Amino acid sequence: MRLINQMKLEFLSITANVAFARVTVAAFASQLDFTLADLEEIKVAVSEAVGNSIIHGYENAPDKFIRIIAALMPEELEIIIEDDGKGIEDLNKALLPAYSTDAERLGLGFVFMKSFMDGFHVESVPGNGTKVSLCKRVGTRLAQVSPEQ
Amino acid sequence: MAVLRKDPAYRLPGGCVGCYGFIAGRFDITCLFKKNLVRFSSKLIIQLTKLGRGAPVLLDVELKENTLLVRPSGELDLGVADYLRNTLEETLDRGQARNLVVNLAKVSFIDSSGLGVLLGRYKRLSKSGGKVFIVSPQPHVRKVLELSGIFRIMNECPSEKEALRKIG
Ligand SMILES: Nc1ncnc2c1ncn2[C@@H]1O[C@H](COP(=O)(O)OP(=O)(O)O)[C@@H](O)[C@H]1O
Ligand SMILES: [Mg+2]
Repeated sequence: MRLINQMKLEFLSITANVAFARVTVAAFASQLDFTLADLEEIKVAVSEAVGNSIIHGYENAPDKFIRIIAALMPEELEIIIEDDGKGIEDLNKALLPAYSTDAERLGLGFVFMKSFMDGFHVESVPGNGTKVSLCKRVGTRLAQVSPEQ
Repeated sequence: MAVLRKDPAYRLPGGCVGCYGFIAGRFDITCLFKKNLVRFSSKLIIQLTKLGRGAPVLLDVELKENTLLVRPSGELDLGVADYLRNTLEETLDRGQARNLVVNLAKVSFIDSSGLGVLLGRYKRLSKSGGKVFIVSPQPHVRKVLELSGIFRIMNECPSEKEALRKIG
């Protein structure tokens, strides 16, 4: 598919960058004809993936790097969020709703990524990082009828 | 940093580095905050801007009988989850609140870290028979709440008044 635009972003694994990452990706995504609701969903998915890299991948170490690559095609946005952290031991388990290796957490991050995006894929090697690929297509939702109409 | 405190049940949350904070209970104060003239009245307001620690959150907390009304504004994500959790826990520890009403009207973003804070407080209060209500989330925030299944355990209410009436 024809590439319209592409960006690469690399930033430190600190929690302030969760907001930075989602806002940046949403601003980039807005070059396509996404609805505001689409952009909000993209923001949630990016927040979850970046948050996971910080908390799980790097176990809150603030001096590691997270990379994001985003590409715009005429009809879709592709996002890759990557860390060089500890990786996921059992990916099938990790993808289950409400599964978390941290008792304080909800285990809903992957559920949100999957539900809010049109494409979702995770690759991880224990001890060798995690790569989350997300895809959002333009105009997949039915047109919303507002109450006034 | 200005600290005004009348109700001894509340204190500035500790351990916040690099923040501006105000706290005021049942006072009318007018002050300069970040070059803007801000006026707070008859309410307990905790204002915090975290430098380099995520998007700013404003937390407005009010105690009505045994119900804590919390009106956060801003973005509830991993960057502010600790602050939010600690503030709510300290407020619950010090006060006599049994129930919690969370007004989400001014929350523009929430993810699973923000939700985790709300669910954690639910767990705490429901143990002693307390109730937790969610009031007026914006549509895109509501979608996240809905997907999480939070409405299976917490009630949603169109207004604070209605929530307080239901608590009775
Ligand atoms: N980038 C990552 N690096 C290491 N482990 C991860 C990563 N992302 C997710 N995981 C693992 O997958 C589990 C599920 O993730 P998620 O659905 O986001 O739930 P939560 O973050 O609430 O635990 C996590 O508890 C963690 O064990
Ligand atoms: Mg997560």
